[in-house]
Amino acid sequence: MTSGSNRHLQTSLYVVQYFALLLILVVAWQALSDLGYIQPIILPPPSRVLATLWGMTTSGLLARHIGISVIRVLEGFGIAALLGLALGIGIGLSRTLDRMTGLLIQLIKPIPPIAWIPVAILWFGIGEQSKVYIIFLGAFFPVIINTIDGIRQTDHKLVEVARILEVSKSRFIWQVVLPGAFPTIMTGLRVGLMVAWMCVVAAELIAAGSGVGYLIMDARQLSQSDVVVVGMITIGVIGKLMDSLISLLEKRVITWKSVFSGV
Amino acid sequence: MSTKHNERKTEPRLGIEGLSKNYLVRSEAIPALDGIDLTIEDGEFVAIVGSSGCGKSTLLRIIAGLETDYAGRVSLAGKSITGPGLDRGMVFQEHRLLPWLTVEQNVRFGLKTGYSGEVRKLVDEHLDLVGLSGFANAYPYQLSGGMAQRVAIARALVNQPELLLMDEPFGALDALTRIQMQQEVLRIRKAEKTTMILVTHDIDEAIFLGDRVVVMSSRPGRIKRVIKVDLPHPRDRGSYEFVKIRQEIYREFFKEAELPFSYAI
Amino acid sequence: MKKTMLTVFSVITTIMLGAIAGPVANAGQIRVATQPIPAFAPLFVAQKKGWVNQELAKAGGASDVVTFTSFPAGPPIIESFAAGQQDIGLLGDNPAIIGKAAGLNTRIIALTSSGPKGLAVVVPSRSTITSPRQLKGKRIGVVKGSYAHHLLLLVLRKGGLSANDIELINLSQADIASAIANGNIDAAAIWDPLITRLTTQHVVRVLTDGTGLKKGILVIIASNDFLTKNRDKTKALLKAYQRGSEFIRANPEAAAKLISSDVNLAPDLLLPVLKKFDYNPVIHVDDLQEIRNSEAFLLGNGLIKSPVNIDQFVDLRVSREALLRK
Repeated sequence: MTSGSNRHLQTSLYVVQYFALLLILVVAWQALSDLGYIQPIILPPPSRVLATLWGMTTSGLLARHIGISVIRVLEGFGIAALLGLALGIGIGLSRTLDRMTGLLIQLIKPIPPIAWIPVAILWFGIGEQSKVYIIFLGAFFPVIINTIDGIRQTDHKLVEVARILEVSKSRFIWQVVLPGAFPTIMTGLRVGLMVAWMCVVAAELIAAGSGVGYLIMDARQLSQSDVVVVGMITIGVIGKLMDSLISLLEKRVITWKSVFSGV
Repeated sequence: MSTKHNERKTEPRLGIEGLSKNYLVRSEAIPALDGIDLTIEDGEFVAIVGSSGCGKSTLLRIIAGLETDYAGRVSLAGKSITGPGLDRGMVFQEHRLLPWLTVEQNVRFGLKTGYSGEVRKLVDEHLDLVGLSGFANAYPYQLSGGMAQRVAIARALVNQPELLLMDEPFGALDALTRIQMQQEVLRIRKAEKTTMILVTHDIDEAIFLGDRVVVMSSRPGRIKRVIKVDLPHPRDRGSYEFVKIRQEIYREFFKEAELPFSYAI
Repeated sequence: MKKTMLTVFSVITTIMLGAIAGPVANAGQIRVATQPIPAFAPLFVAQKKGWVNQELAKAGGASDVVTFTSFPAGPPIIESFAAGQQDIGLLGDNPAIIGKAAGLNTRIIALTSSGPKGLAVVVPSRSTITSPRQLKGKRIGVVKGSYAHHLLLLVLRKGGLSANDIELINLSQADIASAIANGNIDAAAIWDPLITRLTTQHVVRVLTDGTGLKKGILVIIASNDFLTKNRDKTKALLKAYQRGSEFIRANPEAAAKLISSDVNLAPDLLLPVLKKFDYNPVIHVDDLQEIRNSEAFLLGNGLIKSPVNIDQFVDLRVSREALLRK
């Protein structure tokens, strides 16, 4: 039975473990910079990066770019989610549709979104649409593949029960297939959102005038490596926040399962 | 409680004639069932007993309509069985409840699509029937094995099927719970008077529950003997008649010298 | 637990040390960063004629290997310098200054050329724009931080406009070519050989070039490290460059044929372009003023955050020592 003070100690230990690795890296980074082993033009010290970060945050510049990128990502992800879910459910439930679309999906899936940029520019020009298209491509495949998988994984034991109970087709889809597929579909959405966010840099290579990806590309061109690092950190942090949000949503909806969370 | 019997128009005589089934293993036909003939009367409780692999589960699945590739004829009240249906409810060895529905919703799931009667009342009645009235809002993962199986039974019965098929329903439960559940089944049967077919490898269970015990041999699956159990309920597992029937059945499986009667089963 | 932490720590340290160490030039290797543009024609001539190795041999570098790496623009060359991968670079004055402002330890040692007609603001050939004033509100593509970027702002100023009056799209030269052909942008600020390529294909016409606005100076930079250790070899390279420059002046047709593949322009198209440039590598006083103007432009537009002392950045003596005393 842990007493109050033991419990405090344990929580503190957990907090330390959570941040330890990151802190070690940052400290090492600063030390090596101060000792002159790292050139500031390649990798500026954390102190410089923090100063730039502070300046960009207080001036509202960072927030504006983040907002623009987030909107693009949500647009691309939104379309990917809708299309991916709809097609995924259709293909998962219909063998015929699966046979007809399987080859096309397998061929397109391995092409990285960056490789699509020339085609995107050709079809959509250099405005918002081509960027949203690149982001859409990134998110689409995790969503559709996981949706199809989730539906395929429907427990055939439950399918037998449904057959015996003469469950109607719509009840079968809504009460047996989809809830069972939901965890896998959720994974697909989660991965899709992550990839969409990672694609934002690739998307903003297409003649962007704003956004976090643009910020990095622009700073790179002007050898402003501190801004580049700030951009990278921002992408990491926002990505983590998005992931946490979806995780929360997932936990809220799936209340009927006990999930394994590690030894 | 149940008004079914007053409404039933036909007798659910289950007729099985010359039923045979082969499985194709690497282009070789392995016979699973060979020439099964059996008739089951309305309101009967038939227990089918045999060792693993004797085809008893296959037989049950064919009756349920889950397997359709066989030779011979299987009919319910004169009509051939072509597939699964609400007229033949089934309880499996796993509870097979939908994990994302509550107990109450799972039982409701068993109701025919478009059922227009008083849903709530019917569901409550059946929860009460299996002794789970207080658990309507629990999820399957919160239930013990025995409780979950009881929900499965309630779901199978809620649409008042002609036939209740049970495929080793208590196989996954511990010995004490098993005995409890056997008593529950008797109680439910008394209340609902549904025709029941139970498949089990537990000889005592078969004798305890069945009006008739069908003994099956394995490879290929054939009916060796059908023994009538003419004992009144509640049956005493230690009574002379019970033991005598047990002995008879054991003789079908074990040679004289191996009869394990000095041991408590 | 302790053992795991130790392993993790040593792995991370190794990775970081690896990142710091960076690539080092092998002894006797001279690494030159260049771009496939006519403004650097003397270099290609010298390369093809073998003069680079000849002059190096005279300076004691007979066994030296000179590697040439081609880049699409100035900013990637700066990156490469930052990673310690180059010794000599040829690029516009603007990116050179940006690199210095960002902390690169380099010096400008010579000009590659100057040519106000070598950079221009162009519009699609069907465009109705005839004066800089009409650029207001338009989408204009340019390599941000390049010397064409500077020209663009000077042209806008001529039309009474500022950067805020237009929509500036940061594009590489390659992307500018397709963007302007597709009508995705309304104008662009570019340099040769793209100007010649697009005008001869009738995709664009020149709105204004650098004449009277910007001399269009491109420079040769050297890492200070390399310069201090190899002053003689640096001078040798400049001598080779000058020989190339003289060859072009004396035999433009032959030169055009010789280096046509280096700049991806057919000899007959390349010939007039070669005539646009003054290939004298020596830095003169008014050139210094041009470079100062570029620095002011960059600082004033927030493209660099700290000022660069041009007098300290430019090493006038190297080119003088190498080329003016025979």
